[in-house]
Amino acid sequence: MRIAQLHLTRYGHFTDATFDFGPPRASDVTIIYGDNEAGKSTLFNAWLDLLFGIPARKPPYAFRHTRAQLEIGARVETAQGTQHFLRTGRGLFDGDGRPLEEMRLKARLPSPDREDYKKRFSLDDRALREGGEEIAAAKGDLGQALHVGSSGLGGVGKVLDGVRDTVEAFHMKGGRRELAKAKLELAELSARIREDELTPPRFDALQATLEDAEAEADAATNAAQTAAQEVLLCQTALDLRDIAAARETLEARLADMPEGPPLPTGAEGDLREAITAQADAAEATAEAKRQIAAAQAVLDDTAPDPGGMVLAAEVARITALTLEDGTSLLARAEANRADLPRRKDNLTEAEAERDAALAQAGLIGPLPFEATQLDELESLLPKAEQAQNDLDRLRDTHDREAAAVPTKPPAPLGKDALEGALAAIPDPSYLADRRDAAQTAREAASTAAATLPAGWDALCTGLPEEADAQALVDALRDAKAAVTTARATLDTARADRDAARDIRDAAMAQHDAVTDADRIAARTARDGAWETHRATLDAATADTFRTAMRHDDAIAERFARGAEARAALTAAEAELSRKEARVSHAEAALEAAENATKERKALFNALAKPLQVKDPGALMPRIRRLRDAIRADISARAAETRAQQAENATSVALGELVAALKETGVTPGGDLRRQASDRLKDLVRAETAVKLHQEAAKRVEKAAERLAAGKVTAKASDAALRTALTGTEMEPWPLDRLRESLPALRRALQAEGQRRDLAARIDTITAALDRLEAEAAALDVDGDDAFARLSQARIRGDAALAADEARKNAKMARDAGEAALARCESRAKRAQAEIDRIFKDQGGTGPARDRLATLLERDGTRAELAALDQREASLRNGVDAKVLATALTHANAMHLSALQTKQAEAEEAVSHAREAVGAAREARRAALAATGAGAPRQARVALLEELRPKARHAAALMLGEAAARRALDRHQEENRGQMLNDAGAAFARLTDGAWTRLETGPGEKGEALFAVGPAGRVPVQDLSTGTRGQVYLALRLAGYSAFVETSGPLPFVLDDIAETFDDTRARATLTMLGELGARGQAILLTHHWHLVELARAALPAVRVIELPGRSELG
Amino acid sequence: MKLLHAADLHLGSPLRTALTRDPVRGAALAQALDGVLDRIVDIALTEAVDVVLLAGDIFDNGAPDVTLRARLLAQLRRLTKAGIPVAIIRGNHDALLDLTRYGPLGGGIHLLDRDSPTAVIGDAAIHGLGHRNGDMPQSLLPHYPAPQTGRLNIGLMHTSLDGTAGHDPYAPCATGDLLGHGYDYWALGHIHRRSETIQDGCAVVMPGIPQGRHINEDRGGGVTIATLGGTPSLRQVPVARLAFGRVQVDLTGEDATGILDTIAAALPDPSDLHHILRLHITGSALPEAELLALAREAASTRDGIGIEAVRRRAGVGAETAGLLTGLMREEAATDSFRDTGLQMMADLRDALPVEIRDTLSDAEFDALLGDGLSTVDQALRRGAP
Repeated sequence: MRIAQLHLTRYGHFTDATFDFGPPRASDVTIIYGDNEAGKSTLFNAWLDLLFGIPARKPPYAFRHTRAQLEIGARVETAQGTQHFLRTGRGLFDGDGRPLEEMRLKARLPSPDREDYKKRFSLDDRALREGGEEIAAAKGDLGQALHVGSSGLGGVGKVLDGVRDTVEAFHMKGGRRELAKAKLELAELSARIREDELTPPRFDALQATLEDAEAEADAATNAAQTAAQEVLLCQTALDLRDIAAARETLEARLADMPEGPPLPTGAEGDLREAITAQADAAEATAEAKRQIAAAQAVLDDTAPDPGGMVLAAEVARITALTLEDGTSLLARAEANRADLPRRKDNLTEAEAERDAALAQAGLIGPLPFEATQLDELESLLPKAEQAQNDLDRLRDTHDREAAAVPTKPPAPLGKDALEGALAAIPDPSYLADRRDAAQTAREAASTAAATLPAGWDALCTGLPEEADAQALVDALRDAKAAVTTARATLDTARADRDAARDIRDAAMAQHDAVTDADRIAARTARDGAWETHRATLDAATADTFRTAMRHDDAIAERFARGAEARAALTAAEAELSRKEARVSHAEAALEAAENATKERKALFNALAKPLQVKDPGALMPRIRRLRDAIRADISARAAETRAQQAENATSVALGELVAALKETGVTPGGDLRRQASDRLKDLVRAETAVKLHQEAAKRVEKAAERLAAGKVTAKASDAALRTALTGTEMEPWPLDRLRESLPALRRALQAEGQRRDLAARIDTITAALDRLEAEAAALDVDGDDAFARLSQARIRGDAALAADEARKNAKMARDAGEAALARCESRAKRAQAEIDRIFKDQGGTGPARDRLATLLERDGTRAELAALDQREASLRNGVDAKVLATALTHANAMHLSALQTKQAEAEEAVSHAREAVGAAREARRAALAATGAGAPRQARVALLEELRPKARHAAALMLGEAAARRALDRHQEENRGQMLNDAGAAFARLTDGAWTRLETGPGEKGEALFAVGPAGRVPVQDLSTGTRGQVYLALRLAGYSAFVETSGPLPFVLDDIAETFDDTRARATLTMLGELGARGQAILLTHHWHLVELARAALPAVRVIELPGRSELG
Repeated sequence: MKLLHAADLHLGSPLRTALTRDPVRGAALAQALDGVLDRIVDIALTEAVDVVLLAGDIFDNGAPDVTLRARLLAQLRRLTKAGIPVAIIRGNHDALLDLTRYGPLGGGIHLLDRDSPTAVIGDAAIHGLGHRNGDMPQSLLPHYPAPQTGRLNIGLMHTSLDGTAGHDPYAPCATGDLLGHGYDYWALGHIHRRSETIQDGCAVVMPGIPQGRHINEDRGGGVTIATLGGTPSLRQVPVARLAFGRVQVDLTGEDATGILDTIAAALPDPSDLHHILRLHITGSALPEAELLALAREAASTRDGIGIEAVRRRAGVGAETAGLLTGLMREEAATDSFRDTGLQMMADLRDALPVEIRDTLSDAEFDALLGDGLSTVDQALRRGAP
């Protein structure tokens, strides 16, 4: 691919700039010369943007034109011919503006990556320097050094080593890498699963353990039951023996006891109750007698005191007396009697404090007023003070404002009109934007209409809707398809019909017709011949009959065969009829389809002809282009109208501005906008001065109003104060003296209040004492005062009350004792009668309690004998008599002990067996209730799923690395020989013979690259930085030559590459560029004119393009 | 009659995704899987159904854990205590339903098989035949009882129907044959993708797996509530808390920022579901591993969305390559490289745990090689692995 022309329609600072590289020459070298900033880099980047697209975000060359406006065109020569490409922000287009797939261009490039391409097919000073460093860094790796040099791709081996490291981090044989660690973790998880999972076999084992334990428990239970029965039998035998012995003892004891009948039920209780009642009565009798004697003694020893009883009543009355507030008179008098002297002292102190405070306030004599009046004074005084202060402040303010009023200025004229006219003038950028927008819209409209025929706008009249047109196109296509289908169907139907007709004809040909009449005739002839023959029975009739019989048989056989042929013929004719019907149907369908096609074609023509379209496929694109074009035209017209409106509005606004200026007294001229703006500022200042004067005057007026109001307020406040002081010697006092006297007055009032409270309290105490004295005067006892008399009366009264109470109680006790004595005697008689009733017919003598004990023992012994009988019957019940008899012969305590030991052992075995069952059941329950192996199973699967993509990634990297290493080996192997020679020759020329060639040989780490010269053989990494750059340049030039040999030409761009070379090296470089241009295309960008001259001398056919300076582009 | 029909619970079978290794997300995902049976029972109780039908594969052969049976019965007892009977058949994964080995299921739970193929529940006769062995190559339909007159007739069957990709053939039979058997409702199981057919008053329903476990189980997620008596009324009620899905993403022409934005825009909107997604990417030459990292970055700000894997289809970038890449592709296309590469891959495959060796099957060679070439190509371009 060769670039023939580059056209920067809008790109960087270029607009419509064309760079023509002309047709290919024997040596295709172009030098583009320009000053710094002239646009060399812009040009190179435009080429890259053409190939790879304009960056979507912040393209660096969109400073004059927006990204949407950027446009690059190119004419490119390829093996397939010349092609035109157009690149904008919206994508890639061909020369006619049709969109192109990116692949159309990228497919011609050796690399789809912009940076990769730039690295391999361009070279600048920085790349040269860094390339040399990369060669040095490659050191012993010859292959890499050569690859770096030839392709511009450095660090390949390092990258591939990194890829391998990534793979080996995942897995390396024998290494404990990620995969190995994961497998260990998987094994641990598997172990956990095995441990946690209740597998069916594990469950079976638990179940078997439980069943075994249950069987053992059953067996142990049976054994225990047998042992228990043996113990029971032996125990029964021993019990029977004991019963027999006990019976003998009881019968012997019963022989010595009274014989009478058993005591009736309840007799024991009744008897014991009667005995107890008898004893209780005797005890109560004694107590009653003691109580009577004691009461009589009290009555004899205690005398009554009537006078004491009177005193007691009087003391109680006085004690109950109360004051008005409900408190006890006696208690209040006792409490306050001691406080009276202290309260009188306090009264004197309060009077002295009041008089001292009055003197401090400057007053002589009684208090001028009460506390409420002082409160009013304290309320009115601050108001009067505040009113006076406000009045002083308002007077100061008024005086200050009056002094600050400025001199009155003249009023400005025409300011508002001028301001309005100035604001009405549109911003200049507004007009420019409208003009630009109109121009852009018009260009877009032209572009939209570019591929349409002349007079396209006329075609837009009555432009059909896209959906209608598309439906028509689809209908026409469907109709044509229907015709094709119908035609095919008809052909098939006709072929089927012809085949059916052939079958029908064949059936007819096979049909050997024998009718029913033929059959009847043959049968009749046969019957007739038989009748004839039977009548004659001669040879002739026999022959006739044989002939008739054979004919009849033949007819019958043919008729039978004909039935099948007839059926086939009928079927064939029916099939033929169906096929012919299908042909008719298909013919009708074809005709209908063709008619439909004609109708739709007519509709299509009616629609398409006005649009100058014949092909249905072209209709929709034409409609869309027309619609786009008319929309773009409408937009352009609207934009142009807006631009014109903006111009008109500007003109009118300027006229109004001139008039407004004149109104303000200025003669318009020059820059009207600036003149108006300056005048407006003057008018604003003047207007501000007038406003200031007006505001100052208003402030003075308001201050005067507030001063007058303040005077009224101050006068009213003072009048209210004096009214409150009327009649006192304080009435004429000034405000400050009043303010000073207030605290002392407040203290004097407080002292007076205390004095009054104390006087009232003393009067109350004195009254209470006097009343008590009067009440106690009538008491008939000795004493100095009421309190002493009351004390004496209370002592004697209390003693009289106590004696009276004791006598009353003694009389009551004596009466009660006498009543109790009578009741006891009665109860004793009833008890004795009950005892006698119970012992009747029982025999025996002695105290009742002893007789009762004997009878009870007798009845008890009889009951024991009955119980023994019952017990023996119970023991024998259900026991085989013989077995029991045998047991009775063997039973003894030792035997029983042995059996009990055996039973205990059996029961212990049962207990153990049941514990085993419980343990087994619990083990199964716990296993079933466990959480199982869900968690480790999930963890294991998750780990496997985590490994899966890593394994894929490792495998992919492994394969990619293997392919890359093989590719690298092959590339180096294929290119190193010729390339080394080419690079060595280039290196010798670039260094003007200072070095003669490049060669390979053993290095520190394998084969290495060396520079050879008159001074010897030096590893390239030991060369100077500049010389290594020459090696890199030589390798790149050789690499490009190799590329062109295999892949065809591509532009190779050198950007100011030789600016630091001396003339000799620069000339050698240019000569080699000429040789490179003989195989491909070389472009050198430079801002050194001497390089241009050197090139023209070295390469007579070199093409030189001079870039204009930026200033020349405007 | 109102019934709840579920199948293929595969209790105990784990989620096949590495995302459960995330401590926070893992707990939520585990709950989504472990709680599926509880949620089905909750639905049955809330809907107050007359019967619950479980059409096989309640358990999973990969998790032969008897504790799961105990957990199943605990949940089913919630139903029977509420008066809701349960009818069950065995699928090809249900060895744990062996009554002789593990004991009875309990009152109100009917395990239908050849010895007792029919249970009458309310006004319905429920018929079912279970799998006794793993293989069932013949249709079971001829062995199903004739419909009972005067009752609703419901059939439970575990069947691969006419055959479905990804499912072993079990008791195959045609949907048309089921429709013609005379039953009112066929409660099927075995296929993990939901389907339903209603014809002439008979419904044939495959409810699908109630909770998908991996990327290929993305078409279930619920149970079926059916109301019978007249034309069957069917309703799918969601059960899954976790949805697997595949998302197509075209990254043609996108730079790094654009890739993140495009992937983020392709992700589903937030919902109550956790989403585990596999992205199928076109239009990018980036390696799968790099795309996976970008996809996870794009999804990192979205709650409830995890990226399980990325599959890349070779795009423009991979077709046109630089000098070394071109040579790499030429070398990769040679028979000798293919032999070597297959052997290298086999060596790595043999080192893998057996469960995931399929990920490096020979059939994957071309895809892996393509990805490897792209990866190395990218590494060479940027000068770092």
